[in-house]
Amino acid sequence: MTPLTRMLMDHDTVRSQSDIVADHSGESEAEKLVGSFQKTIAMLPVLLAVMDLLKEEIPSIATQDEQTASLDSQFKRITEDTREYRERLQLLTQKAGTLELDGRTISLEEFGRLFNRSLNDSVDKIVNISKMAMKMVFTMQDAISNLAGTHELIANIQKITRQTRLLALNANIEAERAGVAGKSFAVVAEEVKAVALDIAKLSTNMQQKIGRVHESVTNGFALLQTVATTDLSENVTSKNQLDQLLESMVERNETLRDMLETMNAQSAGLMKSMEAVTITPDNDQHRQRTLEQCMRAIGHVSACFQNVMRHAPERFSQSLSTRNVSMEYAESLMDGLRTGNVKQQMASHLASRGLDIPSTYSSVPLELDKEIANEDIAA
Amino acid sequence: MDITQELTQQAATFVFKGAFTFSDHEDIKGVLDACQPPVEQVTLDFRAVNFVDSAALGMLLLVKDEAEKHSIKLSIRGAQEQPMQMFQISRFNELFDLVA
Repeated sequence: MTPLTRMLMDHDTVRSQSDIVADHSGESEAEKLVGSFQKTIAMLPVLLAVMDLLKEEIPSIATQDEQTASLDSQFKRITEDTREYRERLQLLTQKAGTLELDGRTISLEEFGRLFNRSLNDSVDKIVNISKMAMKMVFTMQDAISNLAGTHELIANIQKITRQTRLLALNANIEAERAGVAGKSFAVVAEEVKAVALDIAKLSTNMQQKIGRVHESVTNGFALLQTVATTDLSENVTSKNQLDQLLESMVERNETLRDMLETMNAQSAGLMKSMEAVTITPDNDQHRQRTLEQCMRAIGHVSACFQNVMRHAPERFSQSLSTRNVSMEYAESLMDGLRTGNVKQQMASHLASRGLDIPSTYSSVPLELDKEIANEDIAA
Repeated sequence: MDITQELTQQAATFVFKGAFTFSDHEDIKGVLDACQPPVEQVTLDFRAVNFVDSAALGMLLLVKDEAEKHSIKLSIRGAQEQPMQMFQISRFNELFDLVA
């Protein structure tokens, strides 16, 4: 039970007791009025106590207000955090589905196109390299075949050279047999033999060189076979897997973006709700002002009650004890009357109650009525 | 891989069987040699081919060049599974007449 509730309950007890006390029959109207007024006066301390309690309670309301303010600041912080979270979410939504390339932002779709173009290019190159390698293989096979033909030609040359040398030898024998007449012929036969030897040397040399070329070409062909037989089909089919992977990435990214957008919308709603909960500074100031005004009003009322409590009982009891009507009251009563007779009767009544009534109020009524009539006309 | 040849006056059909790889380069010479007038149409039957490697793709491109050189119509028939996948990835559908 708060002090204020307790006080109000006490006040109810006091009032019921005063009602019992005040329950007298046979009192005049004036005495009843006085009784009521006294009861009212008796209740004033209770009211005053209530006011005092209110004055004490209001600062505690202010304390609660501080707690509310603390809660409010926490809400503000949460709102701020939510705003920051939302900004990050927006950034993430923007960044999702984009990549950085040479300082340029590109979308995942564009990346897909670039990637696909690059893969197609790679596959084209692989297939083209295979084509070129096979062309080289066929060309080198032809070269080896032609070199083999050259070998045969050189063998033929060597055969002819051998025959030429044989012919030169035979010519030499015949020249010897001819004696002096055949001497010049022997010289020619010697020259033919020398030429045949040169051709034999040359052909042997050629055969050796062509043999080396053949060896080189054969080695090159073996190497080319290694290149051409390197199967790039896996690299080609990997394009298919990469395509699927990219499609999956784009799909996943779309899902992610959808989710982020949903989260973004939810965070916007959350932020709005948080802002609605947060007390604005304007409201806060207004509440503070209202509270101050209440305090001032209570102060005024309290001061008024104190004033009444201090002066009213004293004055009221005085007027009741003498039972005299004040001069001011009498004058105001008579000023309100218009008819001279009534005024005169009232003057005499008041004089009989012991008041010193001026002679003007006890003069002839007709003269008074005339005066009043003149005043009315003047007015 | 086995290659059998069905040759008429103006059309040559080569039926491939098995895996078509680099090792078949000697046999493919027969196909290249067939790309000569008076032949006007060369068909490569791939229905029984279960694998092609990158060298095979290169050899097919050489056959295509040879056929184009002599204005011969070239088509590949019945490719499926791995060979068809390789043709699609290499965009052979844009270069060859691929028929079912």
